[in-house]
Amino acid sequence: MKCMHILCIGGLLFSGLSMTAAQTDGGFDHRKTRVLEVAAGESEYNLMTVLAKLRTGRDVDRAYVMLDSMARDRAMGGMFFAYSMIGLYLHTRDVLPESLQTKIREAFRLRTMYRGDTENHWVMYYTGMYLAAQTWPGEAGDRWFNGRNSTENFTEARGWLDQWMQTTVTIGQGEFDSPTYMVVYLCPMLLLAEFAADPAMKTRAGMMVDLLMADFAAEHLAGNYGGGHSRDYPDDIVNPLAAPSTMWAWLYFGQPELEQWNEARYRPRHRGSWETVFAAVSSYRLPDVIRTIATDRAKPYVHREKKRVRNIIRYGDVKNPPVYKYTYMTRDYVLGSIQGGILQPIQQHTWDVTFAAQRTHNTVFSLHPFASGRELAMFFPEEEKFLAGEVDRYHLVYTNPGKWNSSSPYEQTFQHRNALIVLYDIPGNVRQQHANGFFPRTLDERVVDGSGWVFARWADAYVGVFPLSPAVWIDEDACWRWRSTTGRTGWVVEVSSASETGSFGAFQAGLRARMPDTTGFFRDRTVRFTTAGGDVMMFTFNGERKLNGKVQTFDGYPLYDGPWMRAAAGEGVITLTDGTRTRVLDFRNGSVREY
Amino acid sequence: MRTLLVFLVMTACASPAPAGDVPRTGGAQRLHAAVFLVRGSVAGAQKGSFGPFVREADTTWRRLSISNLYTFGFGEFRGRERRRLYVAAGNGLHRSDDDGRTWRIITGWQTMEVLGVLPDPADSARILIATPWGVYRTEDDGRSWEACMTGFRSWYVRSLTRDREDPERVFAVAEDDIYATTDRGGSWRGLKVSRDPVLAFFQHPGDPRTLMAGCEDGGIRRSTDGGRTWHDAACPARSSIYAFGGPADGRTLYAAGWQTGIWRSTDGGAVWAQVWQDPAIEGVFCFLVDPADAGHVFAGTDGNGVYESRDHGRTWSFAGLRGGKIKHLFLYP
Repeated sequence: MKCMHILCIGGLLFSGLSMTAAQTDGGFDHRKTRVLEVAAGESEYNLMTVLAKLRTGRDVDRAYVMLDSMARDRAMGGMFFAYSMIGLYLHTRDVLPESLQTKIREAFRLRTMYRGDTENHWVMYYTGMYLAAQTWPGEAGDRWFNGRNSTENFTEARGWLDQWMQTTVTIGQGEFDSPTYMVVYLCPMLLLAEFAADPAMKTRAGMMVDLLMADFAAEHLAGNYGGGHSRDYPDDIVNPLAAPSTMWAWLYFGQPELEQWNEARYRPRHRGSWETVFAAVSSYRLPDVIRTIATDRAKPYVHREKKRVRNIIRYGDVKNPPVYKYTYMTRDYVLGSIQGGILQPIQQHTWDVTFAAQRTHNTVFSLHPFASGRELAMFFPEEEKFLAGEVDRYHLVYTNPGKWNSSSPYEQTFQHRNALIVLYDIPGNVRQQHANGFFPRTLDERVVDGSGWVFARWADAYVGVFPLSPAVWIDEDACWRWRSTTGRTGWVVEVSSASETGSFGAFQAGLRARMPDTTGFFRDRTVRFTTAGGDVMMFTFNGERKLNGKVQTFDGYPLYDGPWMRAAAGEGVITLTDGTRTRVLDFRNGSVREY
Repeated sequence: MRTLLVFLVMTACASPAPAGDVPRTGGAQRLHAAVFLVRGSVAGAQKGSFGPFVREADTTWRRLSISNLYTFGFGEFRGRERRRLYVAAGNGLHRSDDDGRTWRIITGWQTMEVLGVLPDPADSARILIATPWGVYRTEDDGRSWEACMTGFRSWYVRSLTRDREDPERVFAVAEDDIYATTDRGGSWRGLKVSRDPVLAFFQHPGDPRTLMAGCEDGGIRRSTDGGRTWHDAACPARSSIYAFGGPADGRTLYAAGWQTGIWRSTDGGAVWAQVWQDPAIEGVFCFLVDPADAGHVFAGTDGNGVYESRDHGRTWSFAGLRGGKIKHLFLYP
């Protein structure tokens, strides 16, 4: 019999809730101790390593020197600094010398904490300002860099955070499912859950941590963040376990069974991963139901999510068009996609199949390496002629024809369970006329078959790719790059495993017997494919997606739908379940129910 | 060595500055520059120094903000009792009541970046701002703001300009057109300037009925009837034009944009010719003409700082803020 217990309405009970909900820690305490130990031993100058030193009592004098330097360095500022500095302060003020406490306070007077131009920037900035204004209440405007008094800063920050949470739980995140940037949503929410004095904010922030982690968990496979992502870096796209998300999976889910900092092949190449220190010092504990969502892969499942495009300021009719995610998960692989088009500038990752394995480059995917000032001008206020060059100077790869991340208006997908059709129709006047595909050299087998299929095997997982146009293969260090320059091209993809299909040979034979119907592709951009399950997919670029003759629309697409998560768009109520335990995050009234 | 640091300006002759509710009696004005960014810097990973700057010597500038600030433009109010300097910036609209020594942000989270500011010269409590989400208005000195988008067909508004002839009329450069209002932003009417996106607006200093618009890959559009009809100006190319400038008499006008070099017109903007180009300078965002010397012109570039010419634009030299993306040049005491 299900027995519903209302565990908490209001933040005063939130910490009690976390302890109740997380009945077992799954080794979390050991891993968080390891994070703190190792981070405390780092010489890297950042606020997270300082926090680790101060919390473990290791190398404290050095930590004070580092902190003093960073607190005085006026070149440091902005949203990353704002939230992490106040977070460090709140976690360590009982051991900080008065002089350092004063310098940290002064940093909020003497530096411009830049608010930024992306969703994660604003979350960090307003979290920093919320907690700083709460920590130093009643101070006049001349005590703050922006001339606003403590009350004004607090009120503004609360207003933005409230609307961000409301937007996220009703129409989805704009910077959704980023293996890199998820970190800078989690850390601010962990800090608010820990230190917000307002019970309502404290509770909602904790619920946001639950939601962000559950959102990750449902698409998590053995440390990998599978499927389509809003923002991803090329090194992480081709080598998924190198992403910062991996350390969070390890810390909270216990997978993968490796310490990322010890693995040269996965060592994070940029900031972010030591931010797990904020998780390690937090009293937040992951509810067991979320850990189960992340690790129970006994049965394959389809998981759907609705997200939103980040704010479109130009060249669009809708501020935040919807993003439709579709993910198919098994114990051996995950195949996931978003519908295609420009859903995020610069760093979109539209689809992939990712294998469950602790080897490098465990993924296959394709893309059109699109770049245009017009795309950037949709999202950034600068003149479009300058944007591509400026972004290229920082992100280094934006205009590179070989890049591995990109949105493209000329790419569209249709996925049904373990099969996906991705189509490209690249006009002749577009800067990049080719599509690229990534086949890792770490595959156990790759067969370019005379039938037209390309077969790949990764342990017990199999992939069949049917390219829709001629292409060349380019040998590179990490991959065989598939490149087609026909403009109109695409792949039909089917993924399977030994447990689903039997031998690799049987898998190949099955696909040879089910050749995609491409007769209409160059006429009307239509492809038809019958899946292993007997379902008939028909997909027309800029046209209909049909399954067994029935048009598939995105009408009524849920915010979350699958065996683990359910939520209707627009309601603000997210249900997490592992079949035996259910946790309901009700953002309408800021409550959590478990039964 | 050139040592001109300060312009002595007579009453109401600085073209970007509103008139104020009391006639100016003169005073020293200094060149200010809105440095949006330094080349190679992006949000979250800052390099160099940027923000609102004031020129202190030939190529020496002093930043007015306490640290880096993404700065798009300036505005001012000059009244009987006080004057105010405004900075439109990434963090919001900044106001200084002490000539840039201290600042206060007077917008909230709803307005995102503030790309342009237009204070009402008759009432310091009334301000219009241009943002990626449109025009916002305050009539209570920034305590509250409301969106003023009735009549717009797009969101993005990059700049606001007051009509020299009719101070009640304000022009807004939006994504798709130039819009005008005569009721303090209550409603707007598109001027149907071009099929190309519009980037810049300019009103002839000597002939307020002559308007010009810079367009994306469309060169310059021109109206001689106050905006009722528009025609292509004769340009060296259909380039993207970001900037216009000219002295009070309007005899020589300047225009520039993306990879255009400096264009000049001596017939009120009907015909333009390139007078100077440095291939290292990809773009020019703004001009300012010395009110005391019509041949002394400043240009704010994209990533190359400020340049100046003392011969009506024929030759140019570096004037500081190396690497800076200069969005606005402005005179203020």
